[in-house]
Amino acid sequence: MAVLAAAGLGIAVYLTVVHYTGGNPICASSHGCETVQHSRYAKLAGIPVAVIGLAGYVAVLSLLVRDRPDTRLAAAGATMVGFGFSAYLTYLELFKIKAICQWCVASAVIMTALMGLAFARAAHD
Amino acid sequence: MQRNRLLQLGGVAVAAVVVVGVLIVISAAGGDKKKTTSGTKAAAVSSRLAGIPQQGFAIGRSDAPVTIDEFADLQCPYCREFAAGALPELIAKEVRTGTLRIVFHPLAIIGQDSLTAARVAAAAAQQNKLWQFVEAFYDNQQEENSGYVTDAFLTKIAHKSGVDVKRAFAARSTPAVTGALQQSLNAANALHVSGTPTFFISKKGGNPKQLNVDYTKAGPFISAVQQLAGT
Repeated sequence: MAVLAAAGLGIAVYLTVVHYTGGNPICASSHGCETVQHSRYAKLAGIPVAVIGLAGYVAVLSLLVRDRPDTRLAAAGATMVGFGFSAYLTYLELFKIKAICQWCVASAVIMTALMGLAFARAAHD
Repeated sequence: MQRNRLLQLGGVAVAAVVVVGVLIVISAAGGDKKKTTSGTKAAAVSSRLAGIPQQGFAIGRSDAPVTIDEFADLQCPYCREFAAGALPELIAKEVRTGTLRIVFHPLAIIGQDSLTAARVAAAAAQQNKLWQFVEAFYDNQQEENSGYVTDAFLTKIAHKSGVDVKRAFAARSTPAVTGALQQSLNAANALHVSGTPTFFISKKGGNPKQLNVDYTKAGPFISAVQQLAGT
């Protein structure tokens, strides 16, 4: 799980860096990630979605560090929020922005796996 | 598994659903907010462009010492930002004075609505009304690929920009229009344009050089033009 969360964190860091160093925003055709990252859905109340993902993975990782029944429960909740939000973002990519960012999809897959593991772990207690 | 634990997990799941719901509501509100501030400034546009020569996709005197090539998608909100933020001053200070000529190259990279719009834009260029059409289009731009570029929408834009709608609609599927769009695409490919808006600047007879500046402000464009023109 820690490995998965670290991978997710890596992706979020990458996307955050891209978001802030991408220069002038442009509408692009070939690069799905540029289109997605520059879409009007790339920010939530002014905060880049990549940063929200970053915070999410940090939260999950910090919950994994202390392995107790309550943190296990919290990890299950956090990953479920991550999963739900990722699902919504993937819906936006597919049906609203009509462009797919492979990094965002990778993050969504990781978050889904994390949720499954976190739930299984929490249910064992 | 204890029943208690199951209840706890269920509670966590419900809380998670609520949090996600709140996030989605915030996101959807933010997504909608940027939608068209549909105040038409047709009068302002026409006075801004009045008396400036237009020839096809170009605005400005044909003997202007400096040319800027703009590659744009009419659906692209960033192209609109350039048109709203930088273009008026750039036209007033450099195009109207005869130093600069701007050539608009319509691209259809975002989707079908882009192509539908680009065809009528190219038809407006045949009437030397492209720049009015483009400005009116940006003023009424809506969410990308929502299917908003209908004939009714295009008729409204054409009316606002003084384009002869009947003629434009008759011309939009002709080889002349298709060829003009293909030329834009060829030029974009030759210059390795990967998105919109992208700008190139050149001195008369010289090679175009990409202009990577903050396109929401006129200042950087004006300095680049003046530097090249030696004024």
